[in-house]
Amino acid sequence: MDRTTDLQVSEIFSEIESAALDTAVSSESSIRRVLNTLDSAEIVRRLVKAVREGKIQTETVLSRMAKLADKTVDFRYRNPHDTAIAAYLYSLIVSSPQVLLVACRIALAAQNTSLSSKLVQIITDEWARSFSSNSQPFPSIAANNQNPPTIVSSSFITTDATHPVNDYIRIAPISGVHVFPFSGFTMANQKPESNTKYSFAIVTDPSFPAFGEVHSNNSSSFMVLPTPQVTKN
Amino acid sequence: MPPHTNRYVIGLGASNDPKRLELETRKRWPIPNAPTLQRSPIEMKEAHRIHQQTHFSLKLRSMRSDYNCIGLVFGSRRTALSIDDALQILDDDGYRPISREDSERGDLVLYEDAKGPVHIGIIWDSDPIRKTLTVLSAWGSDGEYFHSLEDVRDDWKHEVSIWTERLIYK
Repeated sequence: MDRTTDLQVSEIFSEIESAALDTAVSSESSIRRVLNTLDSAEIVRRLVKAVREGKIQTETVLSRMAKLADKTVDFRYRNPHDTAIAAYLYSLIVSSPQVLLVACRIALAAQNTSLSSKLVQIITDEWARSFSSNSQPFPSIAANNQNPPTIVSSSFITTDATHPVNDYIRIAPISGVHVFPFSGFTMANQKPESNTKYSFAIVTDPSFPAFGEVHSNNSSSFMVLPTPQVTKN
Repeated sequence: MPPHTNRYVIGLGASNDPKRLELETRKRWPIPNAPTLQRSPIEMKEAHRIHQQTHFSLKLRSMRSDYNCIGLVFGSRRTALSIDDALQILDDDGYRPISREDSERGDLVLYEDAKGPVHIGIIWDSDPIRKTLTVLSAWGSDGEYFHSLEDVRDDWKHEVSIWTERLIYK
């Protein structure tokens, strides 16, 4: 990669992470409009084109996403990189569907997100639907999964114990496995509600065994009732 | 139905969302909703600055970001709704479109693009001489503003209509 391209990459990343794009996207009031704004943003189109043409490696975008997702956040506020992570995720949906699951996993690792976690939910929902018998496969996933992965679902129910203010639920993927929230979860990390059923899915790569864990920083306040069901499609 | 085919996965603010507030239309349709996260003061100030650069009538009312435009109107600033649900809520609540000339303070302004509603606000004031309307609305999670009817994002102005639920006996 020559110096000019390096400069272009940093310029593109800088604009994706700018207040201008954040403001434009955040002023929308539905996920349809958020997607529309991302899709029509010139800088997002520029990134998609660069990735498609191989001028920016997919791994470079994933790495940038991961760097943002790893940053410590002030829990009083929405993750300041939420829009940028959503924009990177959207760009990869369009340009590199083969890395979609990895991108989703990185996006879910970011704390206190709203837009990017909604986007992940849409992707996983579309993906999950693609494995039901009556629906068409999600094209970008189907193209990359000749052997459908195994989906394991599980759930747990919180007790009515008092939860401290900083208590949270976290679903943690183990190497080679993708874990996605289903019902109950509204974001990657959230304060649990009492007597609420939370469920999640563990989606394996065909070659990996399925394992997953549910963590809480106050595990004694949870009654975990795993009810695994395995569905092979 | 296997768990992985549940359709409610997509809908934040649906009946299984613990953050959802109990909210119904007059026809008892449960409105999906969930408060959004507050953004940091730095981000809110920046959003205000950026919008002011292109929308000269914009006057800040609040930098809260835990509700959006339709959450301001139908959720009393306590939660965020999806603007995609605007037409159903307006219909369920007995709103009807009226002409600009017949509008009053308190009526609603609905902005639409070619695919449906994109923004909603409340008529705050009208100037009969200049024939201008001032609207109060939350710009997504970018804060709540007073602005002239026309002074919104270009892609929100495909179609603008005014709605009222007023009932007047004569």
